[in-house]
Amino acid sequence: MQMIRDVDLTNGYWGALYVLAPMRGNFCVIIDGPIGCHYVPVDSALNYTDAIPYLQNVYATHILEGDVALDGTLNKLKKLCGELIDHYDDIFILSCQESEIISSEGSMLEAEVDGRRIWYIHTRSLDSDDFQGRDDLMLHLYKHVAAKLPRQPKKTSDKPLVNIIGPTFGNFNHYADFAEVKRIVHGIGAEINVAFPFECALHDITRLDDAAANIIMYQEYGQKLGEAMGKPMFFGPIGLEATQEFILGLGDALGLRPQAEAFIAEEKRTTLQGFWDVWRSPHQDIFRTNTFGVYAHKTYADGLSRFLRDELGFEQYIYGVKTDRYRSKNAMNIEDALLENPPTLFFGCVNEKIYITEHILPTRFLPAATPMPIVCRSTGTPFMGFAGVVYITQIVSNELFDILYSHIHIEYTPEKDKRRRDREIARKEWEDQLKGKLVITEVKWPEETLAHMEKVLKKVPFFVRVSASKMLKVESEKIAKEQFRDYVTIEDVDQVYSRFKR
Amino acid sequence: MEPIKSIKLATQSPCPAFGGLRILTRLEGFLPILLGNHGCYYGLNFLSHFYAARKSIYAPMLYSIDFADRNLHHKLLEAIQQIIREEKPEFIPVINLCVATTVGIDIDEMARQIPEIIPIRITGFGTRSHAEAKDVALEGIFKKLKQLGDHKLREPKAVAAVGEIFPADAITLENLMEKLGLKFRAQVPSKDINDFRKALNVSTIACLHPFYTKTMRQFAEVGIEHISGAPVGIENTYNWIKDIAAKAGADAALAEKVAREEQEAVRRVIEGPLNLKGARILVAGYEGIELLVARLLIEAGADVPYVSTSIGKSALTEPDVNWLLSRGIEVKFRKSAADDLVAVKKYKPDIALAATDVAAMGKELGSASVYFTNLISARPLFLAHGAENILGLMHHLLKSRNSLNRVREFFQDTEMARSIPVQEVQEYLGCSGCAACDDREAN
Repeated sequence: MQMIRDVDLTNGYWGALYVLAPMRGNFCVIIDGPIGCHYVPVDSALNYTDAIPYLQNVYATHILEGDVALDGTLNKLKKLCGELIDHYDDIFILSCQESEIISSEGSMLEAEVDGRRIWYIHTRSLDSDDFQGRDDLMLHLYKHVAAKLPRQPKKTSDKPLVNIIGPTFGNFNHYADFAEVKRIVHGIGAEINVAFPFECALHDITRLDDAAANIIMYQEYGQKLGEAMGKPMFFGPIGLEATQEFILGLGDALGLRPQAEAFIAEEKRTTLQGFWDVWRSPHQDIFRTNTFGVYAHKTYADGLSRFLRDELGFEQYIYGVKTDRYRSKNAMNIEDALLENPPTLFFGCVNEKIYITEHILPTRFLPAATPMPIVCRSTGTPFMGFAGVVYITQIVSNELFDILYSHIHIEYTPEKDKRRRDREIARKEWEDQLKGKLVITEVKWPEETLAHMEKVLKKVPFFVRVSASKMLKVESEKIAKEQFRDYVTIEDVDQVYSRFKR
Repeated sequence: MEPIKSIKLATQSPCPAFGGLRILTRLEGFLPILLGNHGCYYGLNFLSHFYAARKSIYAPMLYSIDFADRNLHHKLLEAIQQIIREEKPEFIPVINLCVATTVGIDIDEMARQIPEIIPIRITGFGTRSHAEAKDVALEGIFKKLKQLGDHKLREPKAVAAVGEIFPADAITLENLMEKLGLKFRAQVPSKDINDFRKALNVSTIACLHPFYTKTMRQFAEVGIEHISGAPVGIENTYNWIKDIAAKAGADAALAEKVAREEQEAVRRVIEGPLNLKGARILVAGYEGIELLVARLLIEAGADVPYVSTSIGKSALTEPDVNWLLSRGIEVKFRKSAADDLVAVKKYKPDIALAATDVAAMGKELGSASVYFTNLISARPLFLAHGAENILGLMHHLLKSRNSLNRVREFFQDTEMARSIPVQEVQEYLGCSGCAACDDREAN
């Protein structure tokens, strides 16, 4: 058994909740769990992954000591269902880790009364992760729940219909990616049948089979449902080629090949115009001389790698898929990887941001995965599609230039007076030396300090290394002199280096 | 969110374990380990990394097959020993969460085998609120230190404070103790375990937040007395200074003088231009300081009809509760979110200080609501400076009502995701929720 640092995936209950909760319709969810299982995913985490203050229509049994030791939760569930069934057509009871460990018998309550239904979802929270939870529940809704719901009429449209499977709550940057995928679907002349679960009502899952193709937003989940539906599947694309393949593939599957080609041509003249211009400009040169790392969920890890490495020419230092460390014994230790070879830019979640800060690495952090406490609700920040190509290019470019600016010479206002005094002292020393009044001993660089400076310089991005090396040398010697030493220490170098991060 | 009538709900609280982590992750040299389910780990890490400390939390992945494993205890011990070899922490708080407690993982036995371990049991079904989980964490730390014999250097006329406060308030306390001729030795919880050691060797504890009942028992066992409350508002400032002076053995005449001076300073602020006459404020907190905040607001002339908290009633809450009840104020212990929502609807406050969900409801109703933790807990409260700060904030919030209503009105004609249906909001506001409302409010 091994201790895992900062676990960054959650369990099947969260996955199930995050599939059900975004859907509209007259249904509610009952969480069979203690207070924490109610408030943490519904109130605390969701407030940061999706910036939603809390969820309507979610209730909980709030397991208390007596329920664990004696009663179980069946009675509470029964009473809750009794109270709620008058208000809702469907009730979904979700198991969570605690009700599973006390073997709560919620499944006994599955029932259909006067067209109102109670569903029990065993989320396998003790054993499954949230992606498996999403995957399983999506399939379950399609296979078992849809059949009992009133069949919704087929959408009348002369355009071919496409489903979008995902996003759910708790993904990263999903609002923007979802908007971009929808834009592409409309752009090639197709129509969205069901966007499940983000823009559909519960009853709409009865229409899933009406679509001619399925877009699975993420490789992490949704595929089981896609396979069960048996239509052509396409995954949310990141990068130029991936997006082109996606659009053409979708066009072929829907009989819209000419429209797809025309859309791509039009995109090159419009959405991608900005990318083309940035690519032609000097920005692109620093892409090819810089490094990046990514530790994210599979779709983003693969997509960013393909785009930044294969298309923009970055060198890739770190590649990791978050779930791998739970599924394989040879998973990468992200902290070691960061220390061994810190890239200029790193895409990850809050954990890696903390490691970078803890070790005072020069690496610039860019959010690209959950958990990450930032608001990500603008639809103008996609990573997917052609709009994503432009957006990613813009953020990496700005980050790299910000590194450059942080090395551009600056006189810090609070230090101005001290600097002036220093100059005057130095001038006097120099004059005294020329007049033969003073013998100045040069500040020496011991072997070990020199070696340390080399090491430190390697952490500095190549395109600012010259100015950084100058600054390190001059400033370190200044510190040594201030402390009346005639040699520079490793600590002096580190002290100056830490200022680079301002 | 309709109130649920059929079952007994738990008190409104995030996962209580978060309260424990807030204390434990902030201590330097501590390496916290969670025992539970990965769902708990994810949520608690997420919360802790931005509300407690930017510090790693360790945990083993435990699946159902592991809970059936007879060697689980040994495997966990080995894993913990491995961590100790690699990271060399000073202490390892091992926190048993719901699932681990239910299957009976014996952390006390682990602590007997590995001296660095501080065993801590916090569950969503047993620990009543995240505030009280802080008490459990402190109790665990003090127990450990006492086992190590760190309580044997008693110092007379020395004071330590228990309760998370704004850093400026800690300095305020230090200055105040100096005026009284007392030594202020430590304020816990803090990031330095030495502060906890110092606290075990003072003569008097100032228990600033009224949920540290278990922790106070730890002090009582070694003969250290405590006082409750804090120097917030006019009456409390005077009483508290007199109390601490009497318990810690300060000069009585000096104490009277200091208490009068500080009380007058607070009175000048509260009765000055920052008074809150005509403002109705609802105080729906959850971590114990809401009782003090409510008293301060009432002294400043605000109409506070309702005060609620997630913590339970105890001897520590008694003086403040009696004060509130004697003024006919509705005081709710162990409240649920629905209690607060009902109160918001019933009392129509100008400002609701509440948890995220209830604050969101308040905003939908056009009341200048804010999240208690981020806005109130992150401010100085003590003496004149604290009063000035809190009252100033209330005036800011009152001024913000126009902007708030401008946005609320923009969305009034559309069925957005809401906690309260549009029609109810309109009934509540007594009109169509239109521009006229804003004009009326502005006038």
